[in-house]
Amino acid sequence: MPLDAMSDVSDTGLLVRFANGDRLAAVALTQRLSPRALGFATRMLGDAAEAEDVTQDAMLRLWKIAPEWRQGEAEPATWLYRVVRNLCIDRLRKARGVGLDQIAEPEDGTPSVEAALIAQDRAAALQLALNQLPDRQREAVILRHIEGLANPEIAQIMEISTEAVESLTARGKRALSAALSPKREELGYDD
Amino acid sequence: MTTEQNDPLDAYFDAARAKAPQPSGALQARILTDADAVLASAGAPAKAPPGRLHAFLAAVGGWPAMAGLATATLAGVWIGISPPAMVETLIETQTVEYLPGFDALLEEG
Repeated sequence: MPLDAMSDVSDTGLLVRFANGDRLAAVALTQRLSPRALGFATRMLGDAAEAEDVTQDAMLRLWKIAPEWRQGEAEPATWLYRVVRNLCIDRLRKARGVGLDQIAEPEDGTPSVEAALIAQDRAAALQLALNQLPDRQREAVILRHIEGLANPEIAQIMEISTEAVESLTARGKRALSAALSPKREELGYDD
Repeated sequence: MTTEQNDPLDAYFDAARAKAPQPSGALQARILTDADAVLASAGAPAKAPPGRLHAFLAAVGGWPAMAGLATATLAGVWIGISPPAMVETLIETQTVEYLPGFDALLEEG
């Protein structure tokens, strides 16, 4: 089957084809899933090179699990997001040298946010504000508001309840607003 | 449902989506190299055990022999259904003399 014709095949179908030795299925899955993995990892880690390593590692795990993939259990994209999340958390823990639950609130990084706002770079300002959020709030906000996933899927990825996802996104957004809004007003940046 | 219209954060989320990082060609190549390695280590997909067809093919000499056999069979069937003109002429005009010279013995003389 040519690559173009694979656009109608589901992610699970492609994974089964790959497990049966179809390399083009790997190409199609890479084109389809790696941007999502990379986007999530980049925003979680705030580091492009590390995010690339995480994406490669997560995709490698997908290739390895393909022969054992059981249809109907989870969507490959959901599974991949979960792997990316775990890999990112591992890296963040190692970088901080402490357990996830012991992480203190990040120090105020508003000068950087302010600099990005002065440069009128909303994406950069948001990333800097995201970096200041506790990990779980950051995950939930990224998956909900940037990756555009529904709360039940986020709940699967984070292995928590849908209500917990809603709570985390609400708290995360409040914190983001607090980080961004005052500076925007000071700079006369509201529009 | 939450009402998210006019949320000042939406402009930031929109900006972030517009600047979504895309995998470079090098990263995609690394990912596919891994996929190739996994495929190679898994080996070729398991083949079905040889059945009666395989045993028959092995006995007659494989697919090339099977192709010749099929061609000969089809040609035979075709000649039977629609004989070429030359074959019909042969059938119609052929007379077989089992005892040449027998007629001469019957002649009086």
